[in-house]
Amino acid sequence: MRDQDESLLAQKFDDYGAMLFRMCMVLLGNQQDAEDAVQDTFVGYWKTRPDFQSAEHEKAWLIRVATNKSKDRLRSWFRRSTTGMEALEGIAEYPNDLFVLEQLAALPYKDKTILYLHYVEGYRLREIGDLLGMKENAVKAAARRGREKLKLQIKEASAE
Amino acid sequence: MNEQDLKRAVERIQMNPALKDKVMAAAISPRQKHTAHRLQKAALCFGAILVLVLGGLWGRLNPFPSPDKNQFSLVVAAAEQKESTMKKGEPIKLQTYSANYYAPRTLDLPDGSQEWKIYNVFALNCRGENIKSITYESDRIDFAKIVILNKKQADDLAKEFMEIDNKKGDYYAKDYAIDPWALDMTGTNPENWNIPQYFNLEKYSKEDPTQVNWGYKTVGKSYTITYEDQNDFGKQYGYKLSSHVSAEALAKVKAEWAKITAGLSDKQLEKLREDPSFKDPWIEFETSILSGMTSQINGSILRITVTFNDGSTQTRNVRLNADENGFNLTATLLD
Repeated sequence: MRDQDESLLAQKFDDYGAMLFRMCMVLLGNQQDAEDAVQDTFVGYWKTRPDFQSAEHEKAWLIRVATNKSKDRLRSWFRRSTTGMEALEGIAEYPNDLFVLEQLAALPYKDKTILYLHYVEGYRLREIGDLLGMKENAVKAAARRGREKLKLQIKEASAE
Repeated sequence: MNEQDLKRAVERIQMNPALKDKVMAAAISPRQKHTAHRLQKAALCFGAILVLVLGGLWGRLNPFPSPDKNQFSLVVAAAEQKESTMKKGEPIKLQTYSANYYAPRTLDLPDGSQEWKIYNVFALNCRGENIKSITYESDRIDFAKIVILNKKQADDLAKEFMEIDNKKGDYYAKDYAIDPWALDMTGTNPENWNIPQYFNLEKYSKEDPTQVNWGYKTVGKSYTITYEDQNDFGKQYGYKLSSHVSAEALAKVKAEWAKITAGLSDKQLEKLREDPSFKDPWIEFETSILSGMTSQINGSILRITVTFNDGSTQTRNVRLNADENGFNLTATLLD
C-alpha cells in the first residue's frame, strides 16, 4: 500500500514536475523559490488528493495551484531573493535561451503567466481565463500586451 | 525572437534531479503514507481508454453507409470529439482547432497600420462511396493551405520575418511559402496537441514529433481535396479571417492607454487591471476588431461539391455562424 502510494506520487512528479518547475522558474526567476513552489504544490496535492475527471483536469489543477503558490511566494517576506538574472544562468543551457528567459521573467506576473500557458503549454486563451479566473477578453488583451512588451524589451536589450 | 524561441528556451530549462526526492520526502509523511488512493489511478486509466475510444471515432470510415452509390454525407467533429452526421436544417456545433489557439497574428505595415489575421481549421469531412474529390467554396472567407515545415524552414522564415519586422519593411515584397508570420507551433508532447485527435501526423513526425512545424498559405475562396487526403494533415486547408487596422485607430488607443497608465508601476497596473469596474481601452479595441473579423463568418455559405469517380457531381450548401468570440462555429446544412 505504502509503496503504491509512493509510486503514484513519483509518477505524478515524473508527469508534471519538470513542467511545473519550468513555469515557476519563469514566474519567479529564482531556482530556490521555484523549487519551493513546486514542492508546496505537490505537498498540497498529496494532502488533498482531489478527484479529477481527466488527466487534463489534473494538470490544470496543478498549474493553478503552482501559479498561486508562486504568487504567494512573490508577496511573501521569506522570498529568498528578488529576480536575479544570474539565477537563470545555471538553468539555461544556451546563451540565447538565457536572453529570452531574462526578457520573459522581466514581464509583469500576469502577463508572463499568460504567455507561458499560451505559448509553452498550448492552452487556449479562454482556457487560461478559466484557469486564472479571468475574463477571456482580459486574457486576450494581457496576452497581446505581454507580447508587445516582450518584443519591445528584446529590441531595447538587443540595441544595448 | 519568435514564439518558438520563447517556447524552446523555456522547455530547455533544466530541473535539478534532486528535486524529486525533496518533494517526495516533504509530501509523504508517515501518516500520509498509509492512505491508498486508487480512484485517481482508475480515473486516469478510464480517461486514457476514453481518449483512445473517442480518438478512434474520427478515423472510422463511413459510419452511416448508404446502399445507394454516389451518395455523400457531411460529418463534423462536434464538441467533446463526437462525430455527427449533418442533417438538413439542423444547426450543429462545428469544432475548430488551431495550434495558435485563436490568438490573432499582427503584422506591422510600413505606414503604421496593422494587419490582423486568424488562421483556423474546422473539423468537417465528407463520407460516402465512389468519391474522387471534394471542392469547398466560400462566398466570403479565404482558405489557406497548411504547409508542413521542418524546423530549419520554420526558423529561417521566422528569422526573415523578424528582419522585416525590425526594419519596418514590406512583408509582401516577396512571395513566401507561407503567409508572413502564419507560423503555427507544436507542443513538446504530441499527445497534448489538438491536431492528432483528428489527423494522422505520423508521416510527418517519424524522426521527432516535436519538430513538425506548419504554416498557412492563402489560396483564395475555393480549394479541392481528394477523398483519400481528408485525414492527411499536411494536405488540409484552414480558413483565414483578417482585418486591416488603421494607424490612426492604433494611435488613438495607444494614447488612451498611455494616459490611463502614466506613472503607474507594474504592480499598480496589475491591480488596476484586476478591478472589475476598470474599462480597459485595449480590450474594447481588440474586441471590436475580433468581432469584425468574426462577422466575416456569420451567415457565410460554404458550398461543397463532391465529384464522383464516374465524373458526376453533387453539391450541398452549409451556412456558418460564429459566437461573439469567434471560437464556436455552428453549421447548418441547407439542402
